[in-house]
Amino acid sequence: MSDGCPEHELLQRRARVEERELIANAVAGDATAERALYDAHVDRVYRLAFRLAGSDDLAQDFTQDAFIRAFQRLGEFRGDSSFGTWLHAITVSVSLNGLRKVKRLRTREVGLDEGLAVAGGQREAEPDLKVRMRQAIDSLPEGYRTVFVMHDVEGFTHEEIATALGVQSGTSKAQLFRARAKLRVLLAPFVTRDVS
Amino acid sequence: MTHDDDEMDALLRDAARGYNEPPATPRDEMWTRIAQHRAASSAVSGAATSAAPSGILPLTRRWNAGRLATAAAGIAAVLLLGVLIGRTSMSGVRAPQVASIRTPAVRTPAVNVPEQVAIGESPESIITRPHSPDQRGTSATPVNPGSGQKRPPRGSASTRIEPEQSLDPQTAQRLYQLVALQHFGRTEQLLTAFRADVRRGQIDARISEWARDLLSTTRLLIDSPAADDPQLRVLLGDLEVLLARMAHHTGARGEDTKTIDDALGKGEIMNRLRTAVPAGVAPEVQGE
Repeated sequence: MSDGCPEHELLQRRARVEERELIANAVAGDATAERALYDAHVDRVYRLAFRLAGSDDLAQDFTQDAFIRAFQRLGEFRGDSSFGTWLHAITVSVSLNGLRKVKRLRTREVGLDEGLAVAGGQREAEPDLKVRMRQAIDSLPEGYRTVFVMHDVEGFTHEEIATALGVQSGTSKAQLFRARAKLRVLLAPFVTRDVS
Repeated sequence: MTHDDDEMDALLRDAARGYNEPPATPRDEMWTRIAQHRAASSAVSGAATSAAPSGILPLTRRWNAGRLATAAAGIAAVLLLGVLIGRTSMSGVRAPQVASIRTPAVRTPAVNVPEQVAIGESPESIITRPHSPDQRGTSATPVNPGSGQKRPPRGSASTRIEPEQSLDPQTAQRLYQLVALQHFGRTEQLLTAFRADVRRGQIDARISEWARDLLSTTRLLIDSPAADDPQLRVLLGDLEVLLARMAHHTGARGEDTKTIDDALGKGEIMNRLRTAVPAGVAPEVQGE
């Protein structure tokens, strides 16, 4: 994400130092520092949660839960990765676990087969590529969908995704490749039609 | 990957940007709820200063919050045991008829330990009873080899006693057990009273004061260097949690009453308290 400019790097370094101070203060119980950390990261956390959940209520729940957990475990943060990456890892974990619970409750998980049906006989009834796209992404297996959303939709790097998901960056790349391949298959008829 | 695939990917990426597009972040709403949640959990943590039976409170927090208290309790426990052992030894020297043990479970031939202990007895009363004649030869006072005579203690006065005699680990262990058993008896009384109040539907406000008193003893016992029995430590840990909750109980019947009552039931504390008293010791300890 760095543009290699010395000034930009300097700013980033300064931001990291400030963030470390904020974390130390928050660990010591300073509510202002907690709020500052929240303000600095809440947008991206909420966006990620919303992209994964697709609902404002769930996204708010996941965001709150992620911050609560992060503040509770702030003393365990060692600074091996950036605070943001650590927080995103918590967000992804909270969101995926939350979604699994929701799916179990609703018992209406959309399977891949159903997703394939999106590309089937009802082609004429679904004119909008975005709607098809949404259905197709929803139908992806959880791992593919998470990587696709983080990388192609939210712009995370493979390294960030790998850290957040606790996998190798090669795994993240492979999952993205497979996710795109599936989406191509699912959406090919609509894309070609839209292009034509 | 073909040129068509690249083109397709580009189209997909464009379309994907609209996937679950988030609205503006409701920052303040979420922060309010986060702050409320954090405030509520700190209040709960403050009320129960240690973990539930399975360990609710993180160790780090417990350490930060109770660091001084634990250190103070440890020092107090050492002092308490030191005083008990010292008094045992001193009374053993002052009166030739030193207390000894009749009970097999608490008997040790090398130490002066009370024969009978009743719940509520003070340590002084435990250690100053005359012992039976058949146990006189088992006094802690060392014997001169070959002479059969008791060796006079080092130092000028006959009231002096060797530190190594009073710091016999077995003595400390026995005394610790006796104090712990007394404590369990008192705790059982409190829990019984509490449960009776719960059934009656009205909790006596003095319960929390009683619990606070027992809580400090529990902590002293936990932090005592003589506390090397893992089962006893677990039981004391569970009691600590329970008593901490009761100590902060407001007296009003409500959610915390239910929590304590549930914890009492789930942890089977009463049964564990009763079984903590060994069968051979129980009657003597209870002064039967």
